[in-house]
Amino acid sequence: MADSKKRFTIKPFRTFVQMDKTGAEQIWASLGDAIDEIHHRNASSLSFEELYRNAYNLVLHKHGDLLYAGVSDRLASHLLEIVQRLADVPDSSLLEEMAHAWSEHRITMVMVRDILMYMDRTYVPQNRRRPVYELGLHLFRTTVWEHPRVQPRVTQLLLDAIAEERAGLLTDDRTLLKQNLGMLLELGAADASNVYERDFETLFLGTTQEFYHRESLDFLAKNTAIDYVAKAQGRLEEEKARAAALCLAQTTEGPLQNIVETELIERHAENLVKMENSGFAALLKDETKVDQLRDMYDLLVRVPSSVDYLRDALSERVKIDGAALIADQERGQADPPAFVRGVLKMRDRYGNVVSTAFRGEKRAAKRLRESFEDFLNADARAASCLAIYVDELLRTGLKGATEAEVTAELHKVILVFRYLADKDVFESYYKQHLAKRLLGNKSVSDEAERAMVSQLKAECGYQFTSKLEGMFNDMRISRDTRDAYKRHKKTQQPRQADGNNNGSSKPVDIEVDVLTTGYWPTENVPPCTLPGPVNGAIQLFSDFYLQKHTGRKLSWQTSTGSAELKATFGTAPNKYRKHDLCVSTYQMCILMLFNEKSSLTLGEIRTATSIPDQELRRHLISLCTPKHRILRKGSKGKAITSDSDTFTFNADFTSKMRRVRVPLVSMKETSISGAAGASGASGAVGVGGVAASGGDGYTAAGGAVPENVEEDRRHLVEAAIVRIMKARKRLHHNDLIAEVTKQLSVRFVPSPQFIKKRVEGLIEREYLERDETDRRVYMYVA
Amino acid sequence: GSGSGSGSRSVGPNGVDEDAIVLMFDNIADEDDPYVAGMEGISMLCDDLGIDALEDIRVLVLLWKLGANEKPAQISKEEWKKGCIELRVDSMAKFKALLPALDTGFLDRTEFKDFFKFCFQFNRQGTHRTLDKDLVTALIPMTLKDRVPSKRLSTFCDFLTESKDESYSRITLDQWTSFLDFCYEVEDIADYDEDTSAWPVLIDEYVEYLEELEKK
Repeated sequence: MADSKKRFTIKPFRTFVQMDKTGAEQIWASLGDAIDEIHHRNASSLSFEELYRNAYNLVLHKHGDLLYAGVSDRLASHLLEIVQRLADVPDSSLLEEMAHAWSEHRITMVMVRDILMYMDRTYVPQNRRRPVYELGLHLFRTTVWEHPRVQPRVTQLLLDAIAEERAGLLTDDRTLLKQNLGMLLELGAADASNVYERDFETLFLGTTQEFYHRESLDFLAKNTAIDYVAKAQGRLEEEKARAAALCLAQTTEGPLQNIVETELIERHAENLVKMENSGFAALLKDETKVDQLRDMYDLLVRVPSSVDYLRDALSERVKIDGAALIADQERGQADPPAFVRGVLKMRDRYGNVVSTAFRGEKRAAKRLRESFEDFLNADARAASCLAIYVDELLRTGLKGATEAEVTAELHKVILVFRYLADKDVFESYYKQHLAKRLLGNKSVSDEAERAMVSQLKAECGYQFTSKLEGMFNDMRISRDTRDAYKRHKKTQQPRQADGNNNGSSKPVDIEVDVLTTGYWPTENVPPCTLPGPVNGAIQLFSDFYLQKHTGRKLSWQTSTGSAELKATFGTAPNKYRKHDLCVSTYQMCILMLFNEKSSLTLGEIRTATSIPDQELRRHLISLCTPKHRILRKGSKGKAITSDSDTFTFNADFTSKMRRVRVPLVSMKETSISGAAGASGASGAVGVGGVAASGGDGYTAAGGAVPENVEEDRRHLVEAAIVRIMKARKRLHHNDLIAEVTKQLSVRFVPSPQFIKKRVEGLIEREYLERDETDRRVYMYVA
Repeated sequence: GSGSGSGSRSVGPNGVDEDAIVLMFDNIADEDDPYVAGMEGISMLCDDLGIDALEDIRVLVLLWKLGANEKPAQISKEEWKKGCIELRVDSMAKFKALLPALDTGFLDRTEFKDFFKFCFQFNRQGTHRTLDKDLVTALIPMTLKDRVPSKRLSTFCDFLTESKDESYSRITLDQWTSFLDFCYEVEDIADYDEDTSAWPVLIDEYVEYLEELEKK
């Protein structure tokens, strides 16, 4: 070696020999044989290093083409051998042989690839050839798989195996299926061919669809819906499990699930709902079947659009049950509280269906709510029934209830109240009932009353309840006033009553409730003509009261209140029977007339008392009923026929009780059940209460909206229109309607027509005008 | 007009004889109020012109053109003067010559709308703001003849006559003018959309009436 002061250079290998074609072929020959040996599993005698080196040299000396072509040919011929054998293998062992051949081939290819790794890394990418391993797989596909006596048979065997599984027969070995399918996937990946899809997946999905299409039809024809649901769920799970076990491609799972769901669920959803006796709709009728409903939901929810049928069925059921409740109420077979109890029961029941069967699904809950709103708001009857229900609760129903029970019961009322569109109708009736309870002292407890008001306040705001609270206040103040009056009377010297001397020298005792007009439901009924002693007592009280509250005016509500009369029946002195009659104010006025004359006509009574005709008839008839025949009616039959109908004092009246309460006959036209103005507050003799009896614009038959509420609505809508237009100055018709509706929806739902009529009224009164250029736009007139 | 000395006629800016105009008015003025000519006087004018005060629409057109807007069923002296000057009529002859021009066919849509509104306003009674239904059913055919298909006119009048609705016993200005707009805008009731329309409820119900008729 030379001295190292010079640079080192690497000199070419001196023994480098240019390899010529013959040399190359020789080397290739040995490699080719080696491949054969590998193929025949005689690799142990080979030296990996030698083979690798040979291949390396070939490539290095630019004989890559030769090597590559040689490898390709050799592999192809091996594969030809394999396929010729496979083609003749019987069906019963084909899958196994196929899997075996595949497995062997892979092993071969791994070894071949390892030997030819240098070529893979250099020659292959440079010449854009398939890498060796992939080449091996590609050749396998084209040579072995796609053989006309191989592929069709294997495909069919695979499909048959799956079909057998579906038929309930156990397959021998899922492993074989898995291997064959895995082979297809790898083959496809190797040369980007879609052999898996073409030769398996498409057909598999096709047969799956046919199978389930047929099976579902057959099964449904012979079994109940609920049995079907179980079967379908089973099948869905089975398919899923199989896909996993067979390691089907990810891309197959989606379409597979889709197909099964479409065939099992989507196609039959409607039928499952409507099937007689066992369908969803039928099961809804049975309260005990909620779990089965849930099973059906769980199945159908896999295809979300199918759940529409379930929701429709629920809605239909509510509609039917609701209509039945209303029909009962209309026919008179159920009274208003029963109606409300029915609604509450329905709510519980179908609420449970939603939370259990529909698993609390929001859309179902919404649909349920809408269904309730639909049948409850067909007319205003629900509002009035609910008010009566509340009245019953607060008179007697909540007797002895704990605070928690009271809250719970009243809360249920609010739940139904929320469904109502005509909340203002409820308010009007509720107020009237409340007035009667307060004045008649009929409340089951003060706490319960206040609890109801506070629930309403929480629900609707203080504006809804401020007047109600005023009513409570009035009662409290009235009690104080009464006490003060009692004390005042004691200090007064006893005086003669002013007015007519009816033969009684002592002024009558009265108990007065003083009410603030704005808070209570008012009636514009002028007072009737009261007997003298009563007038005297009124005068005394008025003097007392107005002295304390100058500037106030008292208007006496004679349409309400009660009186206790001492009556003497019988003829001979020792056969006198004395009774205390508890009657209404009007009845008192009527009966007092009979102190002067024993017989009077209707006309005479009306003139003497100035009681309005309809009420007069009612209170008169109540005095002539078989059980309380204090007066005898001249004409035959129940009704009063004319003004000349006579009434005569009935001295023969008898009663077991010393105190006789005379109930009022009800007016059929009123939808407030129970006798309006029924008095009989024991011991209390009162004049000056307020309550609405029928036929005064405060009540309405059936589901009609009472006149007083209609009138309020007109005012409210007009006020809203003016308020909105004043703020906006210009507004399109549609926007105005929408805005008004929104503002009033807490109380009631005005129809667009109703609003439009009010708008026209305001145009007429020049609050608004139409835009000259666009008549659909309104403008505020300042 | 300017004041004049004795004997000379005052001729206003339009070249019309203002005194003559005033004289014509005095002939028709009310007995109790020389500044106002009521229906009696107007009838007299019509007689002179040879037209029917009650049936001939040209009466209304004339009064409209003269500007009789202050109060219904009358024209004031000021209005008369101003109107006659504008129209350049200062004699009966000139009035008669004007008659052909009073055909409503000469009015375009906007002018006619204004005229139609006038017809309502002028025919009111005293301080009433509405017209009686019977008057309306008489006026509609009279005023809208040739401008609105006669079928529309007759069905509308039938509808009004047959209606038992209390609130339609009197018709408001808005309902009146809306009817004309409706005839212009909605020729085919299939196009009518009740939900989004801002037509008065009267029109909604009239359309329902027409739809019922079509079914039969």
